[in-house]
Amino acid sequence: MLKIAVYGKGGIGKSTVTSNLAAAFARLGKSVIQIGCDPKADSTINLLGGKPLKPVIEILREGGEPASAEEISAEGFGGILCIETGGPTPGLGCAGRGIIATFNLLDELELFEKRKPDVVLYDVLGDVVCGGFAAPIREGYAEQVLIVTSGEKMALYAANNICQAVKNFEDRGYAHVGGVILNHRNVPGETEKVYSFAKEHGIDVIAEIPRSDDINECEDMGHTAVESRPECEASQHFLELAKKLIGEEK
Amino acid sequence: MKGLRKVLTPFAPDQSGAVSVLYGLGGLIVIIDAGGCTGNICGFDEPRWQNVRSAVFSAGLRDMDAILGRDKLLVSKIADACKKIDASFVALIGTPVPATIATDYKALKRMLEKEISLPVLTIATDGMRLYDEGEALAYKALADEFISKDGSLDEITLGRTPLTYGSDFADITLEDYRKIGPSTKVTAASASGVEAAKRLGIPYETFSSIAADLAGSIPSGKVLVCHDEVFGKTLRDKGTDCDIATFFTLHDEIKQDGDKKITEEDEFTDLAVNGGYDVIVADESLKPLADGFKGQWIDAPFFALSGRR
Repeated sequence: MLKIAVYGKGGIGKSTVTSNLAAAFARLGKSVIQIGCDPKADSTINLLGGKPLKPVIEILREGGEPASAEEISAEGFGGILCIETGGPTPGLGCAGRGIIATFNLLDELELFEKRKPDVVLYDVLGDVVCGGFAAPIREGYAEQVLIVTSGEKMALYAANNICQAVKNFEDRGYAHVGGVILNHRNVPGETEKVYSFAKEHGIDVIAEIPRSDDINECEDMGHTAVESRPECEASQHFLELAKKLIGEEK
Repeated sequence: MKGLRKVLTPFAPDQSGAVSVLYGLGGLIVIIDAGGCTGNICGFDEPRWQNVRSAVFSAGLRDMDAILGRDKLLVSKIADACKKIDASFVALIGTPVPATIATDYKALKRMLEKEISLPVLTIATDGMRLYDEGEALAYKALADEFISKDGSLDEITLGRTPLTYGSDFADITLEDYRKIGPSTKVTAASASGVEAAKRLGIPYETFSSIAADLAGSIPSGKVLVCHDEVFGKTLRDKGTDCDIATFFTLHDEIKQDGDKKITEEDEFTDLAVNGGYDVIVADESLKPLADGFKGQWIDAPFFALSGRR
């Protein structure tokens, strides 16, 4: 089973990358679960035709006691099982703890044992700000971290923080950094900056996603590019990345 | 009102159950709390604290430990303690504090086992469940770490801790657990014992010695037993026609028509007063809840429920 957590600076395109990657895996015949780990709960919306999914924390807040994965998930494009952790009302509670609560529930429901997915993707809010946001890379969850970044200074700053956090967790048996995904914003010297960053940290740039109107137009329709325009350049990059990750697993 | 207790005091929580199973095994037991849970366990839920030495410590968590997630500090403190105390293992017991800040026990185990040469058990109790569930988690941790199931121990009783049995608890050593094998006769003496035996996958019998002692003195009639499930089943096995009501786990293997898992004081009151029972077998601390019950009350002390031995 491929278990991947996608991290990166807020707004850098993690959900876009994760959803398209999920769709690419699905197009390659893989059984996929995508778990959005963000209080905004919008990670999977473009796998579900633009329809928001009720987050787990909201179900629990209403007193729900889910007894099956079906009660907290929805199937999207290509049979991808979509789950959103959600979180507390902004300014209240603890969002990181919400992620843990959701993961505990997934364990209780034996989601992975019962569903036996080929791929699990965790789309995690921002960088690693506290223990809760490191939950997806704890032992038993994601085994590799993919960092989404552009060549923008703050995106690389966040990417650096993520690398540092993962390094700090070495003695805990957490996930390792599997590579960088360069999501192009077309800033000056972008490719050089990102490759230089990757080299400095001893990791590879495993995919480059071009700035693409196809992605934006498909998202306006509530779809991923891989779903609606699989032939476009951006989709081809996602399909190549999915093949690469499957190949590495073998 | 759901959860409102007007008569009963809080029952022993899961962390007390976990410690109860591990108390006499020669380990270094570290309760991951600020101090209050450890005080409660040693002062109220662990009768052996008065006369049997055991290395039970509080992690002594403070604000900054929670804010900064200082797991390394905890690991170094425990490693230091291990140099001074001759322990056969280390057990980390969860409480509401680590549950709230979502402490990663797997990571703590990994970090600690790199520092010390002892096995580390981690038990993710959270103080929000009851003692029998904590006992079951402790048995699971013991099974995962020490029980290979190829030993030749003749017999063992699981779930006979002071919390269910008061002073009539079973004194089991770590070596006993290590020697459990396929031919070991396993007796589940309480709900946690049933859970432990099921997890071991070894055939087991249920038997409660304190219930068996009481069986001959129960008058005939319609009987309600409010205690541990195995206590009730043993009375039933000894010929008492009774219904079981328990605040603790009620396994499907034991449950019969008329048996009930209860959580509220009012549920017990309803059974006691309106259930048509001639006899109630239960801890006397429940008596004020049965105002209006006209039958005979047989006292069956239940330490986890009342602190009465």
